Amino acid sequence: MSAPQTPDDTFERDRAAMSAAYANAREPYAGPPPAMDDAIRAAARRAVGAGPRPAGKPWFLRWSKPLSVAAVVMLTASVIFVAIEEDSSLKMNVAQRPMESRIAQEPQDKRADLAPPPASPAPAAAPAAIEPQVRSFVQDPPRATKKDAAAARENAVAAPPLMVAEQKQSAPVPPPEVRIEPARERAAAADARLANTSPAAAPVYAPPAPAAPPAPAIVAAAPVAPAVPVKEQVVAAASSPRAEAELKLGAAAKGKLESVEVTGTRVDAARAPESGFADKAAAAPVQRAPSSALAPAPAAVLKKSVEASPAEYHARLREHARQQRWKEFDVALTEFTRKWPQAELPADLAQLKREREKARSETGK
Amino acid sequence: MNDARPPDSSDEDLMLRYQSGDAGAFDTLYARHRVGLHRFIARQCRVNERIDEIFQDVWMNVIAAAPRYSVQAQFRTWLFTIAHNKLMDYFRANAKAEARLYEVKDGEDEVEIAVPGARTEEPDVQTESNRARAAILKALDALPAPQREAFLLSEEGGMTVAEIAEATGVSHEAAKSRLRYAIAKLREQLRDYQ
Repeated sequence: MSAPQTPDDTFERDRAAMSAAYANAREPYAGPPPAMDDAIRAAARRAVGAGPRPAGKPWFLRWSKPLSVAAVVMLTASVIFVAIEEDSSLKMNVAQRPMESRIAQEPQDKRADLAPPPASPAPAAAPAAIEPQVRSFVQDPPRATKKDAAAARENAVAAPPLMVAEQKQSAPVPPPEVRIEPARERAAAADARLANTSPAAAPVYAPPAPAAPPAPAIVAAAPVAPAVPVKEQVVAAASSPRAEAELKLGAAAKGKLESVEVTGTRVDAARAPESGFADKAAAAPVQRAPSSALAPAPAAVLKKSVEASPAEYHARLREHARQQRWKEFDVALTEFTRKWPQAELPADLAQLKREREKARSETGK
Repeated sequence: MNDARPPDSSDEDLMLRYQSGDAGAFDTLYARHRVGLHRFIARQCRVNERIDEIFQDVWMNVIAAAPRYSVQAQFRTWLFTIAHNKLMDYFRANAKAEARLYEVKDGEDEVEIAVPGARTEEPDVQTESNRARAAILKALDALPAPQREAFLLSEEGGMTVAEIAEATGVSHEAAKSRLRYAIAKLREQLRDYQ
């Protein structure tokens, strides 16, 4: 007994039978002509040999990486450029602002400079003669605090060439047998040396060139052999405009000159004895003070040597006005007026001054 | 190049290899399907000049579509789907010519001309098996085109009913019905030879 066949069974049986019949009916089929086979295979190889074709990526996707790299490079270069510019302007501001603060504190500094300093712990072996300030700065590092060192670094940015020459002479030198005299005495001594043309009587610090006048502030108390570094300092200083200013200051102190103009640096000789500010700034490398006066930090010496001139004040005022920093403008203008009461402002600054006064009066109302 | 390829690589694997630049994989693939595809086209297209043209178009389509190929179905199904579409395009473009051929075929003696598989036949040297072969080809040719296509896809492409339905774009039931009718009619035509 066999189970009744379902339609599917019949279909599958007939399908198998027809499949076998069709397979028997297949003649040895040649298929496509060989030339077509070759053509199709060659086309397939060409397609592969052409390399991987782009998978339909749009141009902005293909260029996204190069564009990103270019954008990053451009941005980095711009940031570096701006940073360099701002750094330079920042250095200018750093060099200016301590100066302003010092100017604001100038009366106190003056008093501090003029007042007798507290007894300094001078070494017992130190000679009775007075050491130069620069040498004291070099040989007495414990007195230089971190703050002073930072101030020295800041001021070194705007330091005059003379100060650089001072710093180069930082090798320890034996204490010279020199004596520092007050300004009036220095002027007299300078005159005496100028009058004395005898080489034997020439001072130790005579300049090498006959045209250059000898430095007046230093008088040799005795023939000093080991004072060569100091001599070099003075020679270097004597060849600079500031040394000339020193000479003129000496003459001014003697001849009661009111002011001396030396290469853009005006030194008010009338105020010099009182303030000691511009005087010290101009004569920093060659000035000799009593050892007790060396007690203040050497950074003060550096600060005073970068005092601004009226032209620098003018430039500073213009810069403040250009950057709309009116508060700093007012402060700088006040300091300028106080520093040089008789100086006249340029027309543009005078106009700005009037406008600021008017603005302040309106604000006050 | 072909030596590195295992002999039993699937069609899909060969196609992926060709996609990645292995031209030898295409050669293997082509060798596997060239005869069956050509015969599938030849059994349906009655103009001998068009058979090779359609056959070449199908493979060119495969080559062009290779970069976008992904294994979503059997390669064989994809290949015969392309062939089916090409044939449909051909039938639509040559409707009048096909109709005329059908009329000729219905005439009497022109039938053998229209059947490519019979072009190598020599009637005077036919043996019994040859007569059986001619009979099944004649019966196949007498089938309606959809039924004939379903039967050829089953025999030449080795497709299941589901694959036939996918390749021809009809439902599973419709494909099965076409295949069932085709087998029934063939069986009826070949009763004398069984």
